[in-house]
Amino acid sequence: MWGTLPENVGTFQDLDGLMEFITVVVGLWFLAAMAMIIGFSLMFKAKPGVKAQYIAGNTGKQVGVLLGIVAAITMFDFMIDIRNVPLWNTIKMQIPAEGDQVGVLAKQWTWVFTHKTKAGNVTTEMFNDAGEYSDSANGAPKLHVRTGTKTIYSLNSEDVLHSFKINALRVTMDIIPGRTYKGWFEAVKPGTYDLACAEICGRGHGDMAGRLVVHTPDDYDKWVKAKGVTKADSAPKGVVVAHNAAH
Amino acid sequence: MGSSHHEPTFTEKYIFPLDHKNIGLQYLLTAMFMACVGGFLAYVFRMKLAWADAPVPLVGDVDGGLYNSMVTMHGTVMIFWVAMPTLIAAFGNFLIPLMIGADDMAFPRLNRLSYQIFLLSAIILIASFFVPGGSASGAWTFYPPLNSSKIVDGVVEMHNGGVYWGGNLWILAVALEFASFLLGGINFMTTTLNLRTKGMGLFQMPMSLWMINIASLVFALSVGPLVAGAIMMLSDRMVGTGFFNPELGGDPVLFQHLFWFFGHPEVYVVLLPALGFFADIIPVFARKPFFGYRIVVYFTLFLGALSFIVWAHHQFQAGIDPRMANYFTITTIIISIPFGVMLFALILSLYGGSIRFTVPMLWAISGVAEFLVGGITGIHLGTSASDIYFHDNYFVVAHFHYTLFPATFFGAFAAITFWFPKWFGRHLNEGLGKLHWMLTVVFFNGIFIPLFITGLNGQHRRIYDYKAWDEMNTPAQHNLNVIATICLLGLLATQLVFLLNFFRSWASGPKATANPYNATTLEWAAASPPPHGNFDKVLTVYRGPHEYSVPGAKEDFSPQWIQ
Repeated sequence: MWGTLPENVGTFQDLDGLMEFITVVVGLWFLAAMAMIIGFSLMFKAKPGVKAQYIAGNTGKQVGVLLGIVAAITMFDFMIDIRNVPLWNTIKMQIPAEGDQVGVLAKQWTWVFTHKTKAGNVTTEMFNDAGEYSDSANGAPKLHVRTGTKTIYSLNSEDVLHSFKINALRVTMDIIPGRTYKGWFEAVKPGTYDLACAEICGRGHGDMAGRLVVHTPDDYDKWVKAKGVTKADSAPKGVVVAHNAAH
Repeated sequence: MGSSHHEPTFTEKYIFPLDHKNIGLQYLLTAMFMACVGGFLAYVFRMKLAWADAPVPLVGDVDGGLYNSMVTMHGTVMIFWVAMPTLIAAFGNFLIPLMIGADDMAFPRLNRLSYQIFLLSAIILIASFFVPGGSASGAWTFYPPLNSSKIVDGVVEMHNGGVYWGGNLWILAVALEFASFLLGGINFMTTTLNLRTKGMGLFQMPMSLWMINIASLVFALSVGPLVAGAIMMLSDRMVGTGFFNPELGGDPVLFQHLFWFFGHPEVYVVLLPALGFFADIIPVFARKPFFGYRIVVYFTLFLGALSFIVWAHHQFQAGIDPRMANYFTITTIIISIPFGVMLFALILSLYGGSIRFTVPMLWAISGVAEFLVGGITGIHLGTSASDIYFHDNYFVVAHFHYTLFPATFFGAFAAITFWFPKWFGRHLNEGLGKLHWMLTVVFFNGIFIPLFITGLNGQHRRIYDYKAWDEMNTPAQHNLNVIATICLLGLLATQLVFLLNFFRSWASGPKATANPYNATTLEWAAASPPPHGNFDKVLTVYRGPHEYSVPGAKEDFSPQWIQ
């Protein structure tokens, strides 16, 4: 079952470890319970002349069995909690001070990414001002980052709830209109990965695709130079985009 | 007690009944109809997921808007118009007076009114499919701002395109449904507390009654905030207020809190009655007492209290203060304790038994096993860091279907097949019952095991077509979706076996005696079917509900009502 998680190309590797730990713990409970269900069903199938035993679970020993189960579950809960809290705090609360800044603007039903580079702000979106595809794959705008440097993103929504989700990095954060949220990640393996909206946002929710492009530092510099366009520092107004007719 | 009642006319019995059993029957039949509606909606979106480019037979092309509408209404219908009316309203109505030895509910007219309001809510919900713009389509959680308004040039418009009346009717229908269940719940609790026959203390009650009453109490205490939220939402939509509109200083996250403060307890409102049915059915066919009755009651009360302090685990990634997530993770994971106690108590009730694998017993045992899968996968989601990956993923869909499907359908089928002889005075066909059980188990797992895998793979829910992505659109994932859809078609077809068995046996099944299973609780003291007024004399209760194979007793069952 574990082989089915997609490759983790970021630094939040411990998260996979936590998921695996939980799977092992609950898997053992599952196997134990199923063994009891199947075992008891086979062992205690009605036989002629054999009466059931009167076991009401009310003697000290029998209540002790249930309380023992309570103690064991509590212990496993605690083991999960103590692994979870530091990891959660690292991912969600300890946002680094240094890193590449990107702005993510979500709107029905596309993304506008603004990269703060040494050549100025570089914006990528589904269409450019002339209405042509601009730095997009299959109509999906690309977010460009590099390995070796942390990326600090800030999220804004123009209309309804959206969610910024990159499976390959184990990143999810909802985007709330009227608020700005910050988060971070660090990609370690160059490549192109899915980026998606993960909060239902209207009829085009299933078209709201993006791509994460992870460059090596050299490639990233080349991309910046090639883009080279400096836009105004303020967040892009965003072109009014017709519903993506790719389908 | 009711001996002087005349035989009711058709209208008195089926259209405007006061008898609790006939009101329960109205709920049951309405819920069965709504289950067909909910199943049809699942058919539409599952067909789209398996064969995105082909029109869906009977429906035609399914675009993003229609897909969202089908998903939204499927969730709404199944939770509010199938699970609740079947588990709580139908069986609560049928069982409570019979199990406590009463001739009817405390408030029969209130009972009739609660069904009529429920029926009205169902009609309004169905009507919402046919209004301009279509039915609600912003998910059953109805989050703003998608489902609320924006102000454009001074005019109130919907973020969700043309869905205006569909959404308003959705709110109205849900609000009426809540009013109905609030009335019903008050009636249930009043009846249980005041009309128990001589000798029946609270700890002599069958587990079903504990569970239905705790569920009614939890529902009554949690529903207020959501009704407030619904009124605010309606006002945002129709008048242009800005409770949830950031442009006017409102806050969309507020609605999420109001929704889930109700929404999480609501899950237990559905689960508890089903676990109660299992706990009353397993002793009958294992011929031994339910294991740890009192401990389970105490832990269920603990669970009811706990359900009010875990809600924000639905919002870990939704912009709540990340420090809050640590608190909510810890409370959420603690839920495993009371559920662990309940499940192991059910399993241990088999130990040392003399087990008869009748149809209701098969539903109960397999229901426990399936629910176990839903329970353990909840840990992945209740752990805040692990939820980062699973948020809005198919793993979530598979998880909650493994909790709600066993509760709603395994619970309902266990209850229907178990109490059918009492309710209708006739037996169901055992062979058809076993066939229905086996196929349902196979197809249910055939739908949702693949969805666990696509979830681990990374597929997001509520997406009508994965073509816009690469990693979420692999042939392997597509094949899993095809398998799930084929199993859904199988599951839907299988239910025809049940409907055939149900209606044919109702009309012409073999007649049942008063106590065909040699069971111990009070409903079996009444005739099958019980007449208006239920019992021919006032019963006295001498012992607990599950006294089977008592050492020294002549028979292997010691009924509550026989000294």
